Amino acid sequence: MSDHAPAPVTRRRFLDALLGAGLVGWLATVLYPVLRYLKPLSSTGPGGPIKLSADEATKLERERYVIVRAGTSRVLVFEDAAQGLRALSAKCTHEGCTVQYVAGESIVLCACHNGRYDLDGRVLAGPPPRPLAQYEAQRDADGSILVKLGTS
Amino acid sequence: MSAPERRRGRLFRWLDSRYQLQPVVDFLEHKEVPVGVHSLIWYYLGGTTLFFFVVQIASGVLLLMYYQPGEATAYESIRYITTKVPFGWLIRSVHCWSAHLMIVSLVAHMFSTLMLKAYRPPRELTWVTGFLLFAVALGFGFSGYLLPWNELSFFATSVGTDSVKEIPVIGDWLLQVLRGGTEVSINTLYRFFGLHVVILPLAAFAIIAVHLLFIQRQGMAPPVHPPATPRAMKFFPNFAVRDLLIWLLCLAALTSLAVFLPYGPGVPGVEWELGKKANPLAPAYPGIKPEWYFLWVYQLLKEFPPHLVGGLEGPQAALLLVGGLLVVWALIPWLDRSARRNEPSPAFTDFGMAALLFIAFLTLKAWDIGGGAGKVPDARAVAWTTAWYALGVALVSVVVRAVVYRHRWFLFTGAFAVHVVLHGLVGLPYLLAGAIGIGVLLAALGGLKLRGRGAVALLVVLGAVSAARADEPLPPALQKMFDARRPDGAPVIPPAQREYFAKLPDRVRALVAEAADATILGSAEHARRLFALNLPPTAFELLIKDNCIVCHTDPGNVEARTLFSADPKADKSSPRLNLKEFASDVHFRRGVSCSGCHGGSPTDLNMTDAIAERWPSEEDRAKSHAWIPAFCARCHSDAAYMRSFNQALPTDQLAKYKTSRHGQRLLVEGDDKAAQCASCHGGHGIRSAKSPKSMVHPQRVPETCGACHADARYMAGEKTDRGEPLPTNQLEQYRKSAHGKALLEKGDLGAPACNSCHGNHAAQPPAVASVSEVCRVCHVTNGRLFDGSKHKIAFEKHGWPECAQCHGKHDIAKANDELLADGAERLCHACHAKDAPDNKECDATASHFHATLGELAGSMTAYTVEGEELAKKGLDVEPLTNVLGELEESLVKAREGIHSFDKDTFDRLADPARAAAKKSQELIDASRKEYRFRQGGLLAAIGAMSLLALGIYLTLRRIESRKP
Repeated sequence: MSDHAPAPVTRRRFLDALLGAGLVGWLATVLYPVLRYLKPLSSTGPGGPIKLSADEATKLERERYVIVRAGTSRVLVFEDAAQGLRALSAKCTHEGCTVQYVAGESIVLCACHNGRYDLDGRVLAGPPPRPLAQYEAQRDADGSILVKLGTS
Repeated sequence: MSAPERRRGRLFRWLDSRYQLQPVVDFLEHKEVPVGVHSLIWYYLGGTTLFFFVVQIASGVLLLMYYQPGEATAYESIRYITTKVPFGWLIRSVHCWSAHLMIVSLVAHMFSTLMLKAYRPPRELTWVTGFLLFAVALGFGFSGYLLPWNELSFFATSVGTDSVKEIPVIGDWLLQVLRGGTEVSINTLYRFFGLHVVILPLAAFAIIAVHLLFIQRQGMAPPVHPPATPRAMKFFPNFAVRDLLIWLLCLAALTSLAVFLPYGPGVPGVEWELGKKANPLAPAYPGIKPEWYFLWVYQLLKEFPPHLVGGLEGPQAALLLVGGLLVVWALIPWLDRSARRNEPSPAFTDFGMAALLFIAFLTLKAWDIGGGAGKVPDARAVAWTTAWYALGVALVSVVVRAVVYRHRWFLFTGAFAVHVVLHGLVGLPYLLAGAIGIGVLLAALGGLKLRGRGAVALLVVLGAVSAARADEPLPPALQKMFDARRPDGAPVIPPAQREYFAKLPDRVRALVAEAADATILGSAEHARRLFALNLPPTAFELLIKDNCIVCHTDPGNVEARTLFSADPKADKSSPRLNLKEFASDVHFRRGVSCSGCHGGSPTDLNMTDAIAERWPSEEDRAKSHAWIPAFCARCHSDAAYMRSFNQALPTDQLAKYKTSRHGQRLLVEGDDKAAQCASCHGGHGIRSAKSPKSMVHPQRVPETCGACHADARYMAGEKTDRGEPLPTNQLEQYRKSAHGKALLEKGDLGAPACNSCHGNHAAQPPAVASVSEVCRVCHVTNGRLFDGSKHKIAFEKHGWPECAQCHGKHDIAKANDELLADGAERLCHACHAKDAPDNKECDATASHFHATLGELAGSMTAYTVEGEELAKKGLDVEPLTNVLGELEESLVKAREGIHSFDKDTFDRLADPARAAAKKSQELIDASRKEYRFRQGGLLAAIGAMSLLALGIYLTLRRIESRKP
């Protein structure tokens, strides 16, 4: 038996390699579709300007600001007494809470951690690391409000 | 430390020191599987069922990541999964395939357990838990079927849940609990969703745990007669590794099926193409069937008549039978006394085979095998064909068991064969044949006296129930009619008519009794005739309240000349007095019965003078039909009166009729052959024009007009405006025309009939100048383009009837691109050769039209075929279908462009079609690429699985080659 001692080792190694390769290959063919399936499709959303609905426009008028959907992101549209109609990303750059416009102080506030931005989206105080993205908002001739996506 | 302990390593020692795993390992190491008597394959089926269940859970959880139950989201989310989410089609397809394969594996496992008698003590509860798992699996199938919220699942669930109401006592309650209301609605979806993803999985996990625990504790059942020197295989690793190998094979098969047949094999009950979204208001369509494992119950419900003796309803009896069979099935471990004594029990083997054959026969019948290609399968032919299949399988089973296993007990299979022969080959009703089969079985089981007594007791109970539900007594006059018998002893009023009477509302039955008391309903035969009309209760109420028609339907009361009969020929009465027609008459149904035209009152018991006052005498009626239009107009021209029936009905028919060619001939020229109201609408069977049986329903108009206009003898001597003999071939030509085929063959009610061009009450032949105006009513664009073309001027110059010049009149053929083909056959050729010869520009334009349209139409056909093939392969062809829809629409516009007779205008109109064709080609290329990717992926997966399987197989050999 001792003459043939190396042979089983080789066979066993081959077997282990075969099992390993088969297992890895099989796992790959199972996991690849599953992982691709689980990753949500990137939402394209509306690329062009978004138009505020009648309800949103009424809310803007009543509360001086409104938060609207643009694809999967949120946009804060507000009308400041001094600076007029403005639009900023509504997602706080700190931890993603939804910000609000505070008419009395003319600031944009994130209530989660008291992050404060000015009306151009620049950080005034608190933990936000970056300014809010700014968009162009305008009122059409017929009174409807349009927000152009893409930084102004 | 022993060698095995050293091998297990530190992690095991760590766990063992805390959780004492060693005894479990010792137990598993000693666990064995008996080998050497049965084929080992039967022992793997539980494992494969478990494997498919695990796949179900995994794929089900993945589907849950996107599925959204809800009226507006359920169907849409499944559609999104299968068309948009990467590999979503694969996950759904795997889930569906695995569900079916799990049921197949489970059923095979259950039958193998039955055949091997593995349920005998001490394993009774393993059988019961297995039976419960079978019920849970069916629950999974039934609840999951509805979740895509498509048409098929909606209707199948409606039908499936509806049968629940037949369960005695709790049926209605259970129906509402299942549906979350009285009808299948979105509430049902919510309930089924909860059932499918929470309740049933929890139940399944619990029962599987108990089932596996039992198996682990008791081990696998040894054969009834173990060999003298029993052999066994170690469960770990020998059997477990084999299990693993088989699971890999199952996975490879599952993946291949999911890729190549993503919507199932396409057999009714085994298909899951999404189709259309459920619409509770859409009518059901033929061919709705439950999943294959419910087909036998579905078919059994069909085989039972609606009502059985003793007040028992058919569906109730069918469900009782199914319930009884399932209870017997669950209790087999206790019923099979031989197996309890560890003795062979061929009777139960035969019972299992007969049950399998019984289910298979019903399933084959449900698939309508041998029923022909017609829309409605021939039930007799289905029974005949499926009977041969069932008998063939029964014979094979008997021969195999007799020769191979030396069984001598075939009474159940024999009784089944008797049933199949009598039903399928002799043609007896299913139930009767079944009863005879059971009778044969009981006779053969004569020795088992107890069971005979049980059957007698059952019959006594049924008889008692029947007696308790005996019908209430009828009033004497009516009772006498119901008791009347024919000379041969058969009742004059047969069971079907008795049943009809019994189902009438109480107030209508009271009216029948009154009529019998007043002797207006004169005899049993008279009553039979009225019941046999099978009218809806409201119509029957109108009939029985009208003394005129009741009297005139009594063959013993009026002479044949004035007898209304359902079969005027047999009764030798006038064909105009057809009772079936009269009962369908719109006037009768709206309450204007005999007296409405003839005078008198429906409550009169005798004929009165009032009838003669209103209705013209027989002599006057024979002279001329000219009185009819004014007679009908008494009501139909009275707007105030007509408003009480139908506000939308016009009241100017008489005024129009007077201006029509028919009216002129009859009323002015005194030609009695000219059509009047009754010629087109009929007499005693006038239906609403919406009824397909109405003489003026669009599809019947050509035939109605043709009754005179296609009759050469009737039309002899009639002349056209130009003084030529009026042709009588219009109907024949129309039937062959594009319009005729669309209306009469395809059922397109928008296609024109005679009255669309000629008018109806004001019917006139259109003059040459107005022919094209008639066509323009529908073919607007063609008319507009023609008006701007150079042909307009030329046609006017020649006095040609625009459209009719090229397309004809009654024989307008379907326009065909080949009419523009080069050569003498070209449509343009006939006129151009004579009036504009050698016009090269015209020829080139026509050739350009022909080539462009040919290319676009060819692309359209090819892409449609390609799209269908890609859809069958499970690819998302919705974008292609949309673009092909655009192509079809644009092609129609391009064809309209021909009528401009101008190359540039035509090209402008054909451009959208060219763009749609290009887009279609791109989409097809993308789909083909996707399909190649799927095939490649499958190949890679199968390759990897083969490699792994080879590795496992070699490992197994290495393990087994070791010395014990």
